[in-house]
Amino acid sequence: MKLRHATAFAALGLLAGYAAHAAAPAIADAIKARQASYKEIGGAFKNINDELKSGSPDMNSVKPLAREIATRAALLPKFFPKGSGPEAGIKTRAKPEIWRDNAAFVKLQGDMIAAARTLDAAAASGNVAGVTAARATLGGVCKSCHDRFRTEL
Amino acid sequence: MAGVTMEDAPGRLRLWDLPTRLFHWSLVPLLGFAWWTAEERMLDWHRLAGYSICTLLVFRILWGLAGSSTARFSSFLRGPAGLARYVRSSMFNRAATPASGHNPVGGWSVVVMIALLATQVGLGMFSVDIDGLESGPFAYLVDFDTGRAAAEWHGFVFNLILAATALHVLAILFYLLYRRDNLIGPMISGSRRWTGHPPALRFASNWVALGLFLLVAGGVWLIIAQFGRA
Repeated sequence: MKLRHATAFAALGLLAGYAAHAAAPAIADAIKARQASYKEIGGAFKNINDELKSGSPDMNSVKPLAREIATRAALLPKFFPKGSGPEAGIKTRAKPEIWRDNAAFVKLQGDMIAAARTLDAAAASGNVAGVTAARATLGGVCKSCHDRFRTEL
Repeated sequence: MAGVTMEDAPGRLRLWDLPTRLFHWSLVPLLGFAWWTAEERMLDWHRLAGYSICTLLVFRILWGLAGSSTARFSSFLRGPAGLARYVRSSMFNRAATPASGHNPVGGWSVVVMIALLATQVGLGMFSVDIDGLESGPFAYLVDFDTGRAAAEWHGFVFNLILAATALHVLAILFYLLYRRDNLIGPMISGSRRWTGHPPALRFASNWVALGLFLLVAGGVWLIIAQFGRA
């Protein structure tokens, strides 16, 4: 009996150890995934803006970029698990406020996804005025979230 | 004109031409404005400040090749030996004759300042903000990562410019308090007190300077309007 308890505890300990070990890479992966995603989104958004600033945007190059932003934006919410803030010990500019004022953060994420979808729809239909308006909305969401939830360098 | 009576007055030496003084003093508010518009995220105005500073820098570099004696790089840049001699025997010597223009240390600080500002303007042209929304006029030529790196360096070089400006003000204070030599007045009026034999200084025409400035301004505007996207 005693021996069984000990074995059970040992097994439990092993399990807990494994769980803790497994949790760390999940958090690291989430941080890595969101950083890579934001980088791609920023790059795609820059390219869209470069096209718009040229005066005669090539909608064929805008289309896939807008689609990429919409696709990546929709996946972002799952890359912010609890514990993936500065306390993760990994270089991140995510502020603890993301989890402290989580409702506001989630709302901005929703705004981003909606704005990205509008941008994607406008690009898909080749509507330049629509893309111009949508990128201003999306840019505004980027900025308001960065101002509040992202550490300045 | 006040400038004429000053330079003709006995015991005064005409030192800085009007273009050089205008260049110097327009940089002061423009740098402040560039900083403030960046802080306030007024990027349209920030770009305009950058283009203005760019114009001034190009003009000043050309003026340093073809302008009045005291504005020319060849007249105020000394090699290491001349620099060392000045620091050793003149810089801390109250009885030393003042320089008729930039002294050797000041001359190199002019070059450092121009180089820093030119680097800053160059980086700004390719900078991209984190949202991928605002950018310098030539950022479309580089990818997002490069544009972000340019923006981060743009932030870093600003600190170097602040340091150089602080050093510049400290040096002016050193000359004012330790050497009892006011260098601010001459940069405003163009002339300074002078005893003894006056050095031969040549002054280029203000009209030539105006023409050159307008050409540079037009060129900068044309390049940005034609090839830039902002």
